[in-house]
Amino acid sequence: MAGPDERDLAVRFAAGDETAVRAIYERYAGPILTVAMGTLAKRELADEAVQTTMLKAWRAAGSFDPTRELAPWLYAIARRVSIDIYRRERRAATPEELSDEQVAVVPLSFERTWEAWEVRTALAELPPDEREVVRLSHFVGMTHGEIAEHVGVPIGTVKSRSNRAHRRLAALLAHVVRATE
Amino acid sequence: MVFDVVLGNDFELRTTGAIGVNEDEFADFLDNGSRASDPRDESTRETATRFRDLLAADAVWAEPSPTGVDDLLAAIQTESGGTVPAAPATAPAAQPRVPSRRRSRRLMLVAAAAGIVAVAGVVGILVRSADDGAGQDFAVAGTELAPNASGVGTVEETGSGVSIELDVSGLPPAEPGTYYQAWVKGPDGLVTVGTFHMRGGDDHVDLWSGVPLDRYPTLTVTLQQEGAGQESSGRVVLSGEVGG
Repeated sequence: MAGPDERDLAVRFAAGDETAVRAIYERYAGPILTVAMGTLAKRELADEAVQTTMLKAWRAAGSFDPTRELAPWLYAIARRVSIDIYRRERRAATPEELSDEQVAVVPLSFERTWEAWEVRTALAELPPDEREVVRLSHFVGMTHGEIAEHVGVPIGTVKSRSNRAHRRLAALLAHVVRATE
Repeated sequence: MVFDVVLGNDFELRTTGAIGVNEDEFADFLDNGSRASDPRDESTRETATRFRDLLAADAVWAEPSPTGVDDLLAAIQTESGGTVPAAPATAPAAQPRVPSRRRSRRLMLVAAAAGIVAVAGVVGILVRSADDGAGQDFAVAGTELAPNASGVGTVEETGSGVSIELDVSGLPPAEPGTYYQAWVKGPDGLVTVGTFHMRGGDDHVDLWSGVPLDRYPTLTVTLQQEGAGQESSGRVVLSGEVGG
């Protein structure tokens, strides 16, 4: 169930309150972009998906059920918008016009885009210094030593930040994952 | 390994369950990968490997467009007929009524129109200027020949004719030997209002009409071939309705 803050946010969002629109955008544009990029090959199409998702959400916000969570509601809209754009692009392009990247990209499965949304959201919860260590390590591919040199802190500090960050991530992602023995 | 997500009705998606893997091992494997960790639980390894892949993905780290929220607010403002008050901190400063100086605000409308295209298809949508009455803004949308194209035009009567400023996004430069030609049309016929090529990286086009747009309310842009004559090729890439 959405908390009182989210319920209030959704109501003000539906009314077009600028502060609420900015808050929703700041909180959810990133995860929506993640879903869109997981589905669409081109960044400009992903940006279009973010805008269309937000606009559709605003139009539908009046009928948002406050007993639900905002995040899965927005995720569902983002996923559908991204797939619609993907299908539109597929229809528009003749085979000889398809670029290599368009051919190579197949939309991620439902589970994968939801996991990507959750990973993105979890990363946003990390303190900035821990998030940066995770980014440099996983996305840039730096070793702890390289990160220490890049950030200008002792390697021990990088290791402890990395350790804390990954424990926090594991805890933040716990609700997403359930394993069977 | 079971990923427990249930998609119910259109807007219902819920996650259930708690992490079933060893959380410490999961964190260690996320942190160190296969280099230092050797989790005994195979499901821990599978889960952590999937999440490590996501942590290395562009999609997870890409930042939304810095102008996206302003584009969204502009679109909301447009759809709500200008009834949604904008906060003073982000309201555009008043500009002199010189067409070229309205450009930054209109560029926001271009982006807003791009978002509307997905909903409106190729039908142009009238979007009136909220800040002044000097010009009349209207949206143009790409056709099947240019599905990523969109734009906003502003028409303004002057002493020498009708000025049509067009800000376009997503329209590729015309290839050498070809050019774009803009037209206005109505019950009285078809009149060209200018040609352009978009090869210089500019997305702003100044067009002029010598006929009144209340009688020629449809603006189209066609892709033309040099040397193929002065008739419209019929290959429409952009279309919109002026007036309303």
